[in-house]
Formats: sequence, structure tokens, C-alpha cells
Amino acid sequence: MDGQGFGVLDASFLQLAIGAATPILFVALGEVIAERSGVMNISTEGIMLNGALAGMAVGVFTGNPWMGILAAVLTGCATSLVLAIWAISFGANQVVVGIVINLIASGATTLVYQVVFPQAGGHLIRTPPFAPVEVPAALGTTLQAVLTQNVLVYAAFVAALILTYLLFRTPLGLLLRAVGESAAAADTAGIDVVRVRYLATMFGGAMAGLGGAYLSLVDVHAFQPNMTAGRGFIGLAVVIVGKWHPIGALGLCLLFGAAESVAYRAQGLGLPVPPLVLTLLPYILTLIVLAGTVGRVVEPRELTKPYIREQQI
Amino acid sequence: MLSRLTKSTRLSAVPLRTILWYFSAPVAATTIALVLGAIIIAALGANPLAAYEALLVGALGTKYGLALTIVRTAPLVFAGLAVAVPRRSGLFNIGAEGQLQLGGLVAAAAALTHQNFAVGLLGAIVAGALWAGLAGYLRAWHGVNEVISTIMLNSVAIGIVLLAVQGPLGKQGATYPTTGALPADSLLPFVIPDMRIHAGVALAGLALLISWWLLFRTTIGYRMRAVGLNPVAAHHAGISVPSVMFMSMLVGGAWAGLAGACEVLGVQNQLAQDWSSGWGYTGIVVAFLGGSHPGGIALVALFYGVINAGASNMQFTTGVPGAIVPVIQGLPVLFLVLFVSWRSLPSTRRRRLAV
Repeated sequence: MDGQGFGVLDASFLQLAIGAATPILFVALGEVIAERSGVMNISTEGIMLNGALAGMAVGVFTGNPWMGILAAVLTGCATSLVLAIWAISFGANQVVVGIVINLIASGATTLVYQVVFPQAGGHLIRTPPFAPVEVPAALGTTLQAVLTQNVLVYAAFVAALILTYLLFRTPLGLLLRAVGESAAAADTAGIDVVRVRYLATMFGGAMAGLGGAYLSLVDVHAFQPNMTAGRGFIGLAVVIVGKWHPIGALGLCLLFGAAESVAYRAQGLGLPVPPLVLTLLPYILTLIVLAGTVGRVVEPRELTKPYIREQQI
Repeated sequence: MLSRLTKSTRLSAVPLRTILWYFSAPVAATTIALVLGAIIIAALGANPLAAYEALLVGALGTKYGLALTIVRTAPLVFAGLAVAVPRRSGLFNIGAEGQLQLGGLVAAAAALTHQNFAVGLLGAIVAGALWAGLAGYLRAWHGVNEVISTIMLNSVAIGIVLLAVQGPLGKQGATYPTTGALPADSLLPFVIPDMRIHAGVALAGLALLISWWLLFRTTIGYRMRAVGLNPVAAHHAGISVPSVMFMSMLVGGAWAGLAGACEVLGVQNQLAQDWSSGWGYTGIVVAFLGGSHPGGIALVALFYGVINAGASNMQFTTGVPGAIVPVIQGLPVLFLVLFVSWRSLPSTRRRRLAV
């Protein structure tokens, strides 16, 4: 990937940064929708792992990466369905359920990987490649290099635009935001709060699964236990710092993708700070924003609050 | 009025039905989880009973296994308390893992510079308490959701540990980032030498007693529980809700820091990258299954310690991979949470869900 130069900021760096931003963007976009409906899904890390393994396994067995993507999306939906049943129907604590899903997923994916791919011991099992995207040379070499990405990268960025439109310019978006801001009022207006939350949570799960599959099928071309390495949590951070807005999430994912890429590139360049510090940027920035020194954080008013119609007065 | 309130150690008389519920719900949840675990083991092609037997034999059948069980229980006790104490005041400390990692780091640094475990233990307590206190401060006085802040602080702490072992504390020429063996003088002494049970295990027992005493026999503990049950009522009773929340996070962080120090100075005798096997996260399920009560935590930590210690024998004898451990440890809480929610649902909703 790193051809000849040691330049930290060049076309291939941008390409790398956009690629690194994509899995986080998938997760964050899904989480924006789920949290806008009032459900905080902190099991993104576990859902990503499930998606990464399902995508890799189905991709390898069918020889078709798109089947892997489909499997990852379905796995993400199924995993988040657990959270939905527990949190939306039973009113269970979303944080506890999310943490437990993360814990179980980290063990379960390792277990399934070891059992299904016993030969994997020493070496990684390569996933089938995607058909490359042809970028016309007429755009110039720099733009050509930057735009030579997997189709899923384009999908993620387009999804950010579509979701922004849906959230803020359509009745569907208004309905979703109403449920997250005041479920009782939405219910009174005839909106099926439970159904909206179920669908939003499962959309979030599908996107997190997709983000995981991006890691295994596009980024690494293999599955490794706990390969998400905190990206699910960065997805959560991005949603908060991006103020529950798809475009805000997009910008931050690019920033964090760039930080990750600089850290990756700068190893052995003799920078004054260790490159690893850059990978901590998302977490530190989130803490600073939360502490209220930069901007104000206004979350959806009924975030993490269960809505049980019978308990309303 | 307040003096009368604070003198009482019981917030209200607990009916027998509730007490029975507190015991039966976790037991039922664990039973369901073990049955599900058996189904998974059967699906893997092994005999579930043989696997569970191997687990128990590995953990309790030999002197070595028993020692391993006890050693594996200690960090779970600390981590469970680290979550439970803040939980009692209504806070959710997801950050035990980060506090534990920093505790381990400070302990290792102190061992390298002072050749003394006491400095390491104290430093770890302070480091864990400060790291948790940061989240506690942000929650108590700035309304910052402690779930999110502790998740972020976890990642930062793990990054700091990585930076330290790759940089200033790292051993030159090691094949992976580690401090290398810590000086022998700085390690925890054994309390039972022939079983190689280190002093950290005794400290874990002490931590259980102190936490119980703090929560149920002191004014501070009373205030913590009052804030956890009803912060508005506690505020009107004259309790400073923010300081109590902050204090509970300090205590929780201290326990987590100790967990890390005891593991580094008592078991691992070095600090390597990825040294923690996620005790902080397991602590969350330990605290929940144990009802955030030191007695319950002791039982659950021991149970989970058995699972941890016996897993390698189970893998060796029946071929069931050790990766099943987090699954078996996570499932009980999933069902307990369901029972707890079910209990608080209105009866009309229950009937609708049951159909």
C-alpha cells in the first residue's frame, strides 16, 4: 500500500483515511438512528464482531463477498433484536444488556471462529475480493488514487446524505425524532412507539454489522478475534460529538480516520509524540466535548428511557 | 430529623417475598444460562455433563486447581465491588477496566522505581480512584453520562498502558511490549506459600468486608444507598447528592486499581501489553448477578473464578474451547435483567407480553 514515498499527507494517505473512516461511519450512522428513537445501543462493539465473523465466514463459503455482506447485515439485525426485545418490550436497562451482548459476542465469535475454521491456527483465511471500482483516469492521478475505494465506501458516504435528508426533511424522520424526544406525545399522536424503536434499533444493528463486515471483508480480508479493537465504541463517541447528526458523524469519522492513518503511517518517522497518541484522539475529544468545554451536548430527551405505555400517567 | 435518618442503617423493612426474590432470581437466571451453555456444548459435539464435570474437577479437584480458582476469584471480587459501590449510589461504572489497567501500570512503575509493593498498592488505589473520580466528577457536577465517559476513559487508559510498555517502561529487546520481570522485592508476598496464593487474595477478602461495612454500617454508605434509591428524596433530606456520587466513584475506582495492582504484583509479575483479560467488564456482570451486595459478589466471583480456572481442563479433556467462558458468564445476567424488568412491568403489560 505504501509505495515509494514516506510522505504522510498525500493522495494515498487520503485514500487510507477515507477507508479507515468507513467502518466507523457505518456504525455511527446506525447509532444516530437508534439513539434518535431513544435507544442507546452500546453493544455496537459486539455487533461489529458478529458482523465481521458472519461476513467473513459466509464470504469464504460462498466465494461471494456480497453474500458475506448480506449475512453480516442479517446478523447485526438479529443481535440488535435481543437488545430490542429486552429494552423496548421489557424495559430492561439498555446499558446492562448492551454490555452483556459485547461480552458474549467477544467470546462467541472467538468460539465459532475456532470451531468453524480449525485450520486457521497459524495463518489467516483470506476472504474473496470485491470487484474493483474503475475510476476514470481523466480525473487526474491524485483524485483517481483517492477515489479508488470499495463500493461500500461510496455506500457509507451516500448513506450519510440520505439519512440526513430522511431525518430532517421527511415525515418519517420527524416521526423518529418525535419518538426519541417524547415517546408519550408521539404515542398520543398515534405513532407506534414500540414499532419505531424496534425498526430503528435493528437498523442500527444492521449498520454495525455492515461496519464489522467492512473490517473483515474489505479492510483486513480475514477475521481475527476481537479485531474491532474499540471501533464500536468510537462509533458511539462519533454520534455524541457529532451531535446526533449524520453529517456531523461523517466529518468526525473522516477526522478519526485521518488520525488512525497518520498513526499507521508515522510509525518509525521519529515524530515528537508516539503515533499511538493519535489513535486516542476520538476518546479524548469526546471527553472534552462531554465536559462542556467545546459546544454543548443535547441528547435526544428520552435516550435510554424505556417507554411502557401502561406506566404513563 | 437527619440524625435519626442517618443513624438507621436500614432504609426500610424488606418483606420476605422480596428477600426470596433476591436469591431465587439470580439462581434461576444462572440455571437457564447453564442449560443454554450445555446446549451450546452439545452443539459443539461434546458431552455437556462431561464438560461441566471437567470444569469442576479442573477448578476444585486438585490443590493446584483450587489455588488457581482462588487466584482467579480475587480480581473478580475487586472488579465486582468497583462496579457495585457506584451502582449503589445510582451510577454505572463501566470504567473498571480502565481503572484496573491504570492501577496495574502504576503498580508496575512503582515496582520498577521503588522495589516496594506497598508504594505500588497505594499508587494503584490513588490512580484507580482518580480515573473513576474524573467520570464521577463529570457526572456529579456537570451531568455528563458516566456510561459514555467511562467507556472513553477505558480506551484512553488502555492506550496509556500501551504507550508506557512500548516506551519508558518497556524492556529493551523483548519480542513483545512488556516491562519484563519486575524486581522480586516488589512482588506481593504469599499468604499461603505452598499454594502460591498471594496477599492480594487476602486484600480482596478485606475489600469485601470494608465495602459491606461502608455500605451498610456507615453514614456515607447510607447516603450512597439513599441517593441510589431516590436522589430527589435524598437531596431533600439534606444529602449532597453530587458529593455522594463522586465519593462512590472514588471508592469503586480504588477497588479497581487494587485489582490491577494485585494481578500485576501477585500473579503476572510483569506488565505486558494486553495483560488484562477484561476483568473490568466481567466485574460488571459479577456486580449485577451478585445484586451489588458484597455477599452476592463473593459468591458470584467464586463461581466465575471456578469457570475461569476450570476452563483449560475442560478444553483439554473434552475439547470445548475456553472461548465459551465469556458466553457462560454473560448469559446469566441477560436473563436476570429480563426477570428484573418483568417484575417491574405493570400487570396489564405482562399479560400482553405473555400472549
